[in-house]
Amino acid sequence: MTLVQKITGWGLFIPILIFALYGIVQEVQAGNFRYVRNQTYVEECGACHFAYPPQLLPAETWTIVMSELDDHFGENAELDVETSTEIVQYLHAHALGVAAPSRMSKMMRNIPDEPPLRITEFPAFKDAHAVVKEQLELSSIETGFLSPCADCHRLANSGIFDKELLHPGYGPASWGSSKPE
Amino acid sequence: MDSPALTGRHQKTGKVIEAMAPSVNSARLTELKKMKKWLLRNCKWTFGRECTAQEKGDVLVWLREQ
Repeated sequence: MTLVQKITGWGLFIPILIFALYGIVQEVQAGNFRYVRNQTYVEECGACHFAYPPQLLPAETWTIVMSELDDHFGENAELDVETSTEIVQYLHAHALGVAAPSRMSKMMRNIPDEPPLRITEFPAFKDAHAVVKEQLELSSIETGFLSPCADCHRLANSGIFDKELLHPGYGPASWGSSKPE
Repeated sequence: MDSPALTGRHQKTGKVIEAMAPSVNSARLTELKKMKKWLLRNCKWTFGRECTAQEKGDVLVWLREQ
């Protein structure tokens, strides 16, 4: 590549990138979310973990997860019937493959016949996060380390997981003792 | 044990949990529905059964003084 080509390339690329990022920031500041929010879901499920957008799991998987809340990955997270029914309806209405296509739709890639229950075990998620170990210079990724999306994805609460919009330095300054050595 | 007066993190999910002590977090122990929900969950998780009224009372009295 000649110098002129390089300059032209970057000269086009950088303004486009800035324009795209500006658009996303504007969208978020306007209070828009990339997914449909439900206050009950955010309050109940978000009390213990990041309130994962429903589009990150298929409806059938949400059904299983919600039917086993008394043993929710080892925790008791049971809900009264009224609350649980509202949340299941919300999750089903906006699940992977049901919600309008978005960047989260890539979670559908290479899903096995029996999809895992954990978002972090989906092939597309694993592919997208394969670089994390190296970037954070970890010897291994401990279970749960990737759970708090918003620690690294600074607009995660709005359902925006673009890798261009991570916190500077790719990550949490606040991991403290939980950070694997 | 970490002090209930400090902000903590969920052991498994890493989610930030605001201080449990009412002395530093006035929102604690103010919502009856929430308190009942958590006493039910935490008793079942810890003991494999619901707590007695006495047990629940003991926890609440202790927490209230934090």
